[in-house]
Amino acid sequence: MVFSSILFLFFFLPALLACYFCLPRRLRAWRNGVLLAFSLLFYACGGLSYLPVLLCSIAVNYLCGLLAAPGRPRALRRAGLWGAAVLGLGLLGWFKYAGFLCANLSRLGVRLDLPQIVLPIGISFFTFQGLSYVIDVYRGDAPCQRNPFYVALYVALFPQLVAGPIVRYSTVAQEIIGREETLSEFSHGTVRFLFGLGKKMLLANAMGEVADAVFAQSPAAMAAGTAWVGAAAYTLQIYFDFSAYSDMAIGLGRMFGFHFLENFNYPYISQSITEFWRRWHISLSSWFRDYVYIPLGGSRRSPARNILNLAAVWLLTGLWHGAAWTFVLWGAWFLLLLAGEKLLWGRGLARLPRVFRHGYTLLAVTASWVLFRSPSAAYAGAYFQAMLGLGGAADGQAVYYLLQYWPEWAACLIAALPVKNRLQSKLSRREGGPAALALVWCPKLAALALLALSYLKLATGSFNPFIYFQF
Amino acid sequence: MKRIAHWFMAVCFVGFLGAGLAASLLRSPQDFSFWENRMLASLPEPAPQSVGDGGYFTQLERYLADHAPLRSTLLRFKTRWDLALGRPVVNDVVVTSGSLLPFLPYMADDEQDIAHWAALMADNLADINAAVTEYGGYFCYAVVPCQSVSLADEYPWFLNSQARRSQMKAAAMAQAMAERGVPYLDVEAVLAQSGGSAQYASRVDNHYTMEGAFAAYRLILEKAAADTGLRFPILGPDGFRHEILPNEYIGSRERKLLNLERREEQLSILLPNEPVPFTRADNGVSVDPVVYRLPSGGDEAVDYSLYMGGDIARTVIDTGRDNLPSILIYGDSFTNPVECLAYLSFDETHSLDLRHYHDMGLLDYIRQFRPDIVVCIRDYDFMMATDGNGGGD
Repeated sequence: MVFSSILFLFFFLPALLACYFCLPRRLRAWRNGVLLAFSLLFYACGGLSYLPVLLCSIAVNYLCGLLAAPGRPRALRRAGLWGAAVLGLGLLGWFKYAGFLCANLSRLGVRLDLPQIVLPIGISFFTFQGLSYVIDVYRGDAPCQRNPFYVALYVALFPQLVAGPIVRYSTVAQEIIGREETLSEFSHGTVRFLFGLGKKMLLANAMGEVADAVFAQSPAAMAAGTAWVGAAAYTLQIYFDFSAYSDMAIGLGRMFGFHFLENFNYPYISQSITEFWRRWHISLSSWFRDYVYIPLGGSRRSPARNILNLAAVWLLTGLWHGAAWTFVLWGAWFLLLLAGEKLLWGRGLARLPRVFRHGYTLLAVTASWVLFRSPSAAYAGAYFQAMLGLGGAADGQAVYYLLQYWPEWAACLIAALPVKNRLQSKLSRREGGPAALALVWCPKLAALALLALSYLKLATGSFNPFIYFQF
Repeated sequence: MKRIAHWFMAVCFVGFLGAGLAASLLRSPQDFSFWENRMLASLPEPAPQSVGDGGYFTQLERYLADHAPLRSTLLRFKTRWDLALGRPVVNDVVVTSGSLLPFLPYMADDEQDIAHWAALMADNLADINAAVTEYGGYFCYAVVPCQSVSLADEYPWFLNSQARRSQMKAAAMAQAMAERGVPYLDVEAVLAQSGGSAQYASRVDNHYTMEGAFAAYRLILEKAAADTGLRFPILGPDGFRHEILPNEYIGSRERKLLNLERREEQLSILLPNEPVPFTRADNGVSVDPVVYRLPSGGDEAVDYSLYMGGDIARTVIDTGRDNLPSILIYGDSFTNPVECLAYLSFDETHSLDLRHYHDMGLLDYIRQFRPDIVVCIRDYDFMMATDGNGGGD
């Protein structure tokens, strides 16, 4: 089930709100029970047969968390930590990477027969989330939770269950036990949810139509304009799709009194790749920073070791997104850029005019999305050639996609820039009634308008896939 | 103030969810969407397999989306809005000042691929030709222009009319048919020599006009007469009365645009100056001896099903003139207006639409009824499609 569906909006969410808010606030355990039951139902709607995988992951993390808690013998704690890592990553490895491994081994002449493995929805997200809990408990950064239902609620909480953001246990530990649901929180959460819904339905889906149409074609016969339009469309689609999901998750969490950390911060205004990764999928990059990069020594070792650490992080980041060589290349591309900025051209870049820094970052990121979206490395290579004008002759496609989707292109450009934030801060600096009135009412009215437009799209269109579900 | 705003927001959102839930539960579901010309999704039955793999909820979402509250109103609103925004393509229809044309996807024109499909189709047709010639009958494959071919010049420059692809398909088909010795008539190629087919194309529908059907009727029958030496009347322009229906005509493109974008066009019929009495049976059941399904009044809109009453699995028209040959016409809906004229030239006219006719295979039908002439009529879009009416048996 996706948030931008009638099943979610008209059935799941009303039923959850009714069951949850009918219970008095003092019955916290019951409210948590309702939230957990609906979260498991939400997951089961994606396929009941995958539910045992989620339950297994919860059980592993709960038990390993108990073992890894400070105060126990060191060997037991280490066993808890490694147990969670081996079992959690083993589960992820089996479902996500076994097929990829076998395919590559068979290319080397080693044949292994595997059963048909279907990737459970959101396994990459809940595996990393559960693992972070055990590591934090082991390090003493988070309290060990002895109530298995609380661990289950933390891992399975439906807003962030299938597509993130990856929430640290320390972020919500207190809120699981004693949060406060208020009218103001509910209202803010609703506004945030509706902005996400609008992003998804009005912008990401439209850009997805363009990207899908272009990437379905052979790049060998593709005109340069078409290739650029396709790459730009996918660049916008992946941002609005993923950040929309994060907005909706954060908004839904807030309706129920949870405060998840931000996952995106206008990444396309970045002036370097280093800055881009501080603004893009923040929960994942900080996960790798805290649990892989820093434990390996981070940047405090020799330059060679630093590059090795970066390589480990970016190889894993690439593979986390998918079991294919294109994702490995995608990770390698960012490794190259980040290492280059750190050791070679970072200082020079900083001295360039702003427009060049933006241009460089956008070009590098767009190229990375071409790799990310391509079905194979060979396709990506041919696509890059098409972007350089080495594909087919001009055929008017680019003009068609620009004219057909002109309102969406224009809206995407505005929404990718921090226009809303600047307007808000301008208004908040002004004294007087109209500015205060606008600050209070404008976001709400805009959110309701987005709800109306999103429902219009939802009821009349069938193009509605979420990209990050596949991870 | 803030508290009022928060209450307002919460009430609006929860009210929307509640209203949506109530409307979804209380509305009476429909089966068919007229403007979309398709069956709406039906409520899925839960099964262990589909619940296990998530397929059930995917189908349920499709059902709920198809039956969403206010869907028809919103479809109209969205179409109107897209037209107002000036999008060049709305609901897969290319909106130009003169015509409403089909949106055609951009695709690589692979000559080898086209030749491959032409060969497959020609092989199918060669089998049918062999079955017909076996008992002394005559078979001909006639390809007629569809709207995108006739009005290719009306596409905006940045949209693909697939004109080059159409030419490649026609050339490949002609070559494949010639190699197999199967009689073949490219109506578009003949019309191109006398001013082109644009004059015969509807501005609002994929099919040719009645005039276009008349041109196809004459070309096909003239070729059959020339190739076989059979004698049967082929009516000329003087043999008919041309009558334009005053009723509103809703073409398939206008229908896709929910009739919100109109181009002036009327449907017409050709009535023989010397009527021929006949009996008609649809799917074995005797029906009124008419070939035009005329509207009951001036207010009733008409569409392409005016001709022969639309796509019917099997129709047999018998004029009881044993001295004339019999004909079997099969193909997609382009055959319908041709059949409105063809019966005037034959004793028995059989019509099959293999998309709907499943009582027996085409070859069995041909062997059983042994029509003197068998004609397959398909348009440029489907000339190489081996499914439906492109199938052999």
